[in-house]
Amino acid sequence: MTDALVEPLEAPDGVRAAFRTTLEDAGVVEHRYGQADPGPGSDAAHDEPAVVSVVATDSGVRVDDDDTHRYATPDAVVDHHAPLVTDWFYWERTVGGHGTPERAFLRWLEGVDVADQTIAKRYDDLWKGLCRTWGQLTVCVERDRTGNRRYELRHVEDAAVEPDALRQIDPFDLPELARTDEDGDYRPLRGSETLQRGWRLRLDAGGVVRAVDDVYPASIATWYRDRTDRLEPVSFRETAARQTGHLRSLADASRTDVAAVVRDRCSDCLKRRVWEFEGSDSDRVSAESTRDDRLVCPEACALVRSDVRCRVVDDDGPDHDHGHDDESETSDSDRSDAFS
Amino acid sequence: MTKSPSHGHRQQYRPTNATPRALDRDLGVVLAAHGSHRSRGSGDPVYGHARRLRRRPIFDEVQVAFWQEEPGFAEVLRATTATHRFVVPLFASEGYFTRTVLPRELTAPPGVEDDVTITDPVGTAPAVTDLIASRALEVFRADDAVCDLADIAVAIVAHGAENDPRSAVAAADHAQRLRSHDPNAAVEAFYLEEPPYVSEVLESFDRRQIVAVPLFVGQGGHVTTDVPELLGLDPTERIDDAATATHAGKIDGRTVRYTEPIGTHPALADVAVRRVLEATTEVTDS
Repeated sequence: MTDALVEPLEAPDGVRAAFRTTLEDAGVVEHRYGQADPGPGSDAAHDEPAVVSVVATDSGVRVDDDDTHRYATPDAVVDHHAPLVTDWFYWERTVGGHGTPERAFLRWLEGVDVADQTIAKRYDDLWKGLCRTWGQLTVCVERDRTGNRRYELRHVEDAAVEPDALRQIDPFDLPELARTDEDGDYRPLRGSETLQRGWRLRLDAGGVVRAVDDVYPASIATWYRDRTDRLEPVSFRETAARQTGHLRSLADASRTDVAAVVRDRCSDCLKRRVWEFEGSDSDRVSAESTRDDRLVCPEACALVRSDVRCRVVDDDGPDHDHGHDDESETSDSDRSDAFS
Repeated sequence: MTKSPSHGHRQQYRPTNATPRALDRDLGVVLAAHGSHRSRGSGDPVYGHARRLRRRPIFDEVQVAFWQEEPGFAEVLRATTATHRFVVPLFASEGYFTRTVLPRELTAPPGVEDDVTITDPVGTAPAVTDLIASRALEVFRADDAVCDLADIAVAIVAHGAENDPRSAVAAADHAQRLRSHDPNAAVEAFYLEEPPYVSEVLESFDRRQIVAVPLFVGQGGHVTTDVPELLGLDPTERIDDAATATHAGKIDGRTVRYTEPIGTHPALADVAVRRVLEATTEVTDS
């Protein structure tokens, strides 16, 4: 009979066993009324999984499945296990997405990856609200009494601002906001530190991962590949080699050309560049203080490609006759600036 | 108001697999377009269509990807988690980008399991013929006494490419379709980079009312500057009334109107949906 409580929830083994043991030990099956148990010969109960509602009452947990069964548990049991069940429910029934970067991101937000983290501790933290930084965003999560989470997104510099002082925006307006700076100018480099301030967004689980990607496209997936050691940076040489059309000239770019562009363009970008001029075995660029370790740049972006092309094409003018693979022009100090 | 942790309250769960979970995404679509890192106008219509699609309960995931701005094609593809993924090229025609760049950039790296379907571009869809007609007629007001295509001449303006014959096909097809629909219609295709050139629009028609409809997706330099100049209009004199053309002028006693590009037409989002449906049918039929 305890199966009727536990099975339809498909709880993880640990939770299920804990519940079953507790219920049996406590002798919590207090009442049974309505229809009799279909009995061992009947498949009726198995053909269609019963919809079971678990109701926490002042005196314990009440389980109803079509009014056939009724259970009650002592307060202590409820208090002890409710976080386990509601947390499980949130992640299994509300969020889902096992094995996806988005799920990993949402769990990281709550510090699930932190050692010595317990659900009780996490639930206390979530009640007060937890915030993490993602580029120029601050992403906060808090739970309500049922274990459901709400998320909020703001500019990191607005983290301490009173909510009423910030404009509540429509999530559908976020891509627009992310493409323009405070002056209304186009913001092609998404990693630049020019994200607009003065707004906030309240979101659910599905909404927050979309919103973060609207501001920093593909950042969650790239972060996830990086932290699971599956990120394979694409060297500039590789990027150049597959170009066609007017970008074919990227193949003529020297290390000096690329280093110069990296110095100019990437210095405005919050992302941590992990691609190198060539080869994948080079040491990764060490994270500088202004870089956000979580935003990862695995391949030269459209802006860098365009800047490098401009340099190559300019160098190709009649006044320049030097080869582009001439790395002798690159001083060691030049090189260490961009590709250290 | 302060909250305090409490677990002894009423809560009711009705677990059922029918409730979709936030991160379980079945059908994903990526709107792939050219974009520009210089002007936002190129990507604006793409974001507009993504917004339209996101507001509708069709796809579980709607993303945009660009060649010349962030996020890039490959980057976005790696970030989509939907089970079934479709890339709809928001391009005006077949050509270099749909045949060369997109397939190349969307090829999964070795060892990565990948199934993504690239649909036909939106620009070649027969439904776009209707959008061109609607663009051409919507610029007239009631007192202009223009009722149908027979009263005007329509120039479908496209990019074209001298080294790629596929590029011109879409505009020519739309022109042909409009002509066969209405024998009195005067509709021709003109191109920036191959003949017949945009500069030949006026001499090609003898009607007094000429409407030029750009078969472009983005509102980049070609649409906002090059084409109006070639038509003899002043690109800086933009009409900010949605009911009229973006540019208009009297040239040699005739009126030339220049419309918003096809890419900004709201119904192009529907064309994108249709492209995915077609691709789905192809997939299941084969």
